[in-house]
Amino acid sequence: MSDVNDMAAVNRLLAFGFQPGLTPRRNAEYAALVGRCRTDPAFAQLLHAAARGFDLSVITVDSRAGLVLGTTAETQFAVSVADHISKPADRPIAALAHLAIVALAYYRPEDLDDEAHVGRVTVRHVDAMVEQAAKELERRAAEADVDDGVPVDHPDLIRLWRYYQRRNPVASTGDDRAHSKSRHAIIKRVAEYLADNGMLRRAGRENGGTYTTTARYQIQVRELAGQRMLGELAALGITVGPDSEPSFSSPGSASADPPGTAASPSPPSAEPGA
Amino acid sequence: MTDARVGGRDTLGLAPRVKALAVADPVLDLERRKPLLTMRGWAGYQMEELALTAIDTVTLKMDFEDGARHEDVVEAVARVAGLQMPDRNNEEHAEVARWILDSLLNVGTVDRDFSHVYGMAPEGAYASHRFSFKLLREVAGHDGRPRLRVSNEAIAVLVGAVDIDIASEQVAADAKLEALIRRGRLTDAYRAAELALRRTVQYAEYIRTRLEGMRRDIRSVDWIRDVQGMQTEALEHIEDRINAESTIKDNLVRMMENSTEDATPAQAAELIEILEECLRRHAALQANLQEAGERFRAEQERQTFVPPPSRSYVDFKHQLLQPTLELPVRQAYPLLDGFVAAATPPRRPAIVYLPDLIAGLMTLPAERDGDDGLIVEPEFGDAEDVSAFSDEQYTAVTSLLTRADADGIRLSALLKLARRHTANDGRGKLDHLLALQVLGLFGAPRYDPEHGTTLAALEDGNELDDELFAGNDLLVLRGPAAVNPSIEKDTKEAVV
Repeated sequence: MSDVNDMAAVNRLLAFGFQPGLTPRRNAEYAALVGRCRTDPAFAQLLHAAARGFDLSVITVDSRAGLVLGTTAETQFAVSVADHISKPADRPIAALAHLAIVALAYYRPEDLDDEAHVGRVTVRHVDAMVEQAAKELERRAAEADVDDGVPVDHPDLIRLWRYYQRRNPVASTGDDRAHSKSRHAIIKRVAEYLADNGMLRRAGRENGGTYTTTARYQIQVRELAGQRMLGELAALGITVGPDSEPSFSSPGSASADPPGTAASPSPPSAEPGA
Repeated sequence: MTDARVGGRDTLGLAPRVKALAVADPVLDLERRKPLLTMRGWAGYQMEELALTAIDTVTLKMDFEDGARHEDVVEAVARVAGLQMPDRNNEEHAEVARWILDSLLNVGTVDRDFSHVYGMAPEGAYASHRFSFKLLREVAGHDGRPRLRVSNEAIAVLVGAVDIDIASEQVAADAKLEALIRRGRLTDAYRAAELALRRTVQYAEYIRTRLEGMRRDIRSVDWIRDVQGMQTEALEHIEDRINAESTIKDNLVRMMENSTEDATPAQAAELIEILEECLRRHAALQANLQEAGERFRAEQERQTFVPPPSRSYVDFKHQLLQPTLELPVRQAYPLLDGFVAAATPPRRPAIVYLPDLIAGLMTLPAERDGDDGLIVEPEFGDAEDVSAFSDEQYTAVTSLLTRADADGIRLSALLKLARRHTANDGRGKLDHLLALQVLGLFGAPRYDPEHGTTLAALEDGNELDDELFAGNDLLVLRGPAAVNPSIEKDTKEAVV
């Protein structure tokens, strides 16, 4: 039976976990609590129970990242794109930017496993990567002779990549400021949000803004976000092997994936993300 | 999965042509919108010619890596505007050019897109679709500032090569150019050379995207099918072009030596200039092609030959990003939103607490912060209240009105007098002041306590026949006070 002091300590640790910018290295009390968590199983159990009360899960308690909390489906504490992007038309692009930042920061899957890896992303390169993927899909669509129209009464049936392409990466304004609806500006807003929440660190202004990743970000996307989204895609019937083209198992979508695109000169043992 | 569904056989077969027409529409629309700008008096400009100039300029200026700068395009368009309306000043020409450029970019819409609705009837059921396109795309230049590139749609409609093989059209263009020069039609030859240059740019654009894709991800490019084939094809293309252009240049030089016409040298110089531009472009293209193989091998080394991961993790780009891009926004957005929730730390939710809400609603909106500091608060200087009419004019009108007696004097007669007065004094608006005063007398007769008389204007059904004013020819008369009770009843207004 734990006493009142233990309860207070656990909640203190949870409160630290709610300050994503804070790391154990910056706060001695935080570091002590993290250390206790790693050595005292009863204390760790108490922490998990307390987090469950918030409908949160403890992903890990790490000496570098501190307490990393994950959200569950029921929680009131989950972040939505709508919280930090006010214009509904910008939200799909911003949400895609979240994913693209991860994809660029951990370009090779093994980067996720490497604790020393510090991903480096710039606004410009994130945009270039998505643009490139969109161009590839555009080429395939052109080869398959797919019509590029969107039904008038269902504008949200537009493919995400076409939606992305329709935005200008940058746009001129009368007075040389960044155009707030351009892709670069939206990606920048997302990166700034992540930086404010301790997931990225600002590393300069080159290429529209340069950011490096933090340990917390690595753990969070590795342990929770990636797996969860992979599962949700699989639920939609979309599965992708680590080194192959996506296969859509739902009926009627066969033409989205023209045959013979994967004939690459790389050795057959090509690794994922290579 | 819309793309797949609408990909069924379309029984109407109108869509490609409707789309081609739609791309031309924004250009034609400029001409239609011109009369709406009556205030600016731009009716004399041929807007669609200026728009095509803008598109041509961007097409010619955009090269392998970069696009055209806004100010260069404005300058080129303003020059043509200057040819169209030489009597207007340069500022107006630049303003017209900026208007053209903004309209082609569709500034003011969220996507800066044009769209057009067309119908398709796969399996006999008609369905409307929206076709979205751009004429000019804005991309980031090396310095991060926006640059302009012409969209594929615009190139296709502009050059009229919707379904034509790039290479074969180039051969045709060469043949045409050579024939024109041999026949000495240099102006036409200049056009043809420009056309040939545009084809080259298109070729370069195609190759550029391939190389770019290879740099990002080696697996997006098939070496045998895409790279090797393209390389051979493009190198052949360059060889042919360089041969053709050299022949043309030789022909041209020979022709210049034999020429007797005065206009020829200048035209020929322009032609040589554009041919040199072609040669320069081809050299750049060739340099890029020669690097392609080396770059491919380097990228392969960098991207492919890496040690395998010790544990299996999600490959974000290939397993998540790419499949998500292919989903419709309706499906993709909830997925991505879930990803954001999982990939960001939990936050403290904002709970609506009624007193806070009321306080929030009552607070004045916050001042805009530093980012918007460029907006300058206007400073208002002291301006004197300038009256529309001078004191002398008031005196003149009063003296005119003294002519009114019990028999009355017609407004038309007063106007005539006032205009004669105007002619003598050189004042412009005396008749306006007079008309206003008389109209005032019609509504409110003026009582003169000194003489016990009333000055009033009456309406008796006579129409005013005047070059400036229309309405009733009012009768101004001076009579004893309270002689005209009928005025209040008669509310028919004289229109001035």
